[in-house]
Amino acid sequence: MRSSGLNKIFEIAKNDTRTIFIGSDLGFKVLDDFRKELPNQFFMEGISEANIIGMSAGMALNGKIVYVNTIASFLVRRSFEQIALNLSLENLKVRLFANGGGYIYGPMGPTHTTIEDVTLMMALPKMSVIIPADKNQMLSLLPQVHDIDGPVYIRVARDNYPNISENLKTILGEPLIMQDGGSLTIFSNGYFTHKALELSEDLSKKNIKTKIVNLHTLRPLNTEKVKELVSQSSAIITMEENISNGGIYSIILELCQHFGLSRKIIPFFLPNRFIEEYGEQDELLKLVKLDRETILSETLRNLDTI
Amino acid sequence: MESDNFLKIKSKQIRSEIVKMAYQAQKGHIASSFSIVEILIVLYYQFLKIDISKKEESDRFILSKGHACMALYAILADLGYFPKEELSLFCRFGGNLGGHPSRKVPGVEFSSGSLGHGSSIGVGMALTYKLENKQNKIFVLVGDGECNEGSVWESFLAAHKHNLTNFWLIVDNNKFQSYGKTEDVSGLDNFALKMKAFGFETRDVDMVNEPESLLKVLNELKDKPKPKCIVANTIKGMGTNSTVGNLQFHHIRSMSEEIKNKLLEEIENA
Repeated sequence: MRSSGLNKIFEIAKNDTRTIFIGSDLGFKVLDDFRKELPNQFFMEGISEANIIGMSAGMALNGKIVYVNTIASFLVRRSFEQIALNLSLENLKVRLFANGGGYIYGPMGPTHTTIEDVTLMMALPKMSVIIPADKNQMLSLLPQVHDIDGPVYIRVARDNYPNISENLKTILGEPLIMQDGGSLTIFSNGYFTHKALELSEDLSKKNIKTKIVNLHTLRPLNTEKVKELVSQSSAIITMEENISNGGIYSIILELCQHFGLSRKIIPFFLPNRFIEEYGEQDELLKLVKLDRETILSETLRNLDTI
Repeated sequence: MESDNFLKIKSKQIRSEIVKMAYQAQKGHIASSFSIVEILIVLYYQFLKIDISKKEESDRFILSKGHACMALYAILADLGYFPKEELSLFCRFGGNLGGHPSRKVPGVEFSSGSLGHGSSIGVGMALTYKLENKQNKIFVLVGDGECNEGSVWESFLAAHKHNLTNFWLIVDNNKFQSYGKTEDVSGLDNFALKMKAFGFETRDVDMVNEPESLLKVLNELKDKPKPKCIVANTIKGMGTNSTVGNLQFHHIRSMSEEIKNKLLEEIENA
């Protein structure tokens, strides 16, 4: 989703001169065409995330819509105070285009993976948070968030995930029903929507039908719609590449509590620990027991106890 | 000479307002506010072209060392940005003027309070003006203690990289931070030398003995083709004998009527 998303930003920038892109010492020749064609809208700054967020705020205060791009872990951890005070408090139009997130940079170690980015961003008032599941959804959401008020966190993930949302209409803030089915509902986003499809397929072999709801946008969120979907469910599965706080599991739990809905929830989320082992996303997910087989067996075990 | 007299009279007025605010609130960063009084007077009354009704053409000022906001509030009120009566609600429930400034306050460009943010904001603003060929100037006032923060230096690199000739950094080099002398806590040595090395057109100004020279230096730097830095050599708490270099006044948590009157008297007789 990274290169297609960046190209989309380039396209947006061509049509809206308010658009500014700031990268933090990205890879050699990244977006060379953008730089050459729109030199007044493209900036490659030093390895200085805190300053870049401040700069982007200054530019947004002067009417720009600024996209800041670097690796999610650096962006969120290094400049959290700037994000909180310069962007969230001031409600400015800065879009944090965060490469990776979760275990995507697994081979690079715990400095590059992040289990807490979504949690931290959701903790900030006025911060919109979107977690596309594939390239198509990214391309569909980017123009929708371009000019909305306040800052936006975009968890970017990979370009080469299978395209699962092509024939569906992704609308900012609206739960996307990807598959209608039984009363067992799976809520997921990002890479875990792919996992949700796998789980659904595995469950269907055991004659268990599922409804699949993709929560690509965590904020803003049509909670009325989510409530309705929860109400229609006999049980719920949540799946996300984040720790348990602030994401889908949290949102559904709070919603059930708030509306007095009693539903069995089977949650799948990342354990709250640094990953100091190395490997690709799927290898690390297997390490923490979030592989296809374990997710299925855990689901079946939990469904048995209903 | 007329200008010297104006600066003297106005600085007494502003310092008196600061003491009254701190007394009413029973709190506030008096000493840090005192050290920027002359700097703000020269900027706001004699140099900046600020017109909030024409923001498009206005210069911009960012108080990055937000804890010194009492000086800014007193000046903004004096210039009519908001009624003077609001000063009496400093730090109080129901008032608009907090212990650190918010953008909600008319005339305040950016909420500050956590140090090391303002110069990056200023660089971003200056860059947009440069891109649009606008003449607006950006002034950022940082403290010497604030320059312990690494983000400040990141922003200096960016100002130099983009050759932001419209970016003005004013350093309130008041020699003290919260715990002690800046040179003991995290020494900056020769600040002006550092800024020259960072590519800034830099000048030192003696704000204690020749505060009026600040205006001259500002005018002198105006057309220099580099980002500008003025190291304003002040002393924390300057303006009264009781507060100068006295860290007890960095942030007060109470003030007796006796102390208030003493400070007001010292300001008058300074």
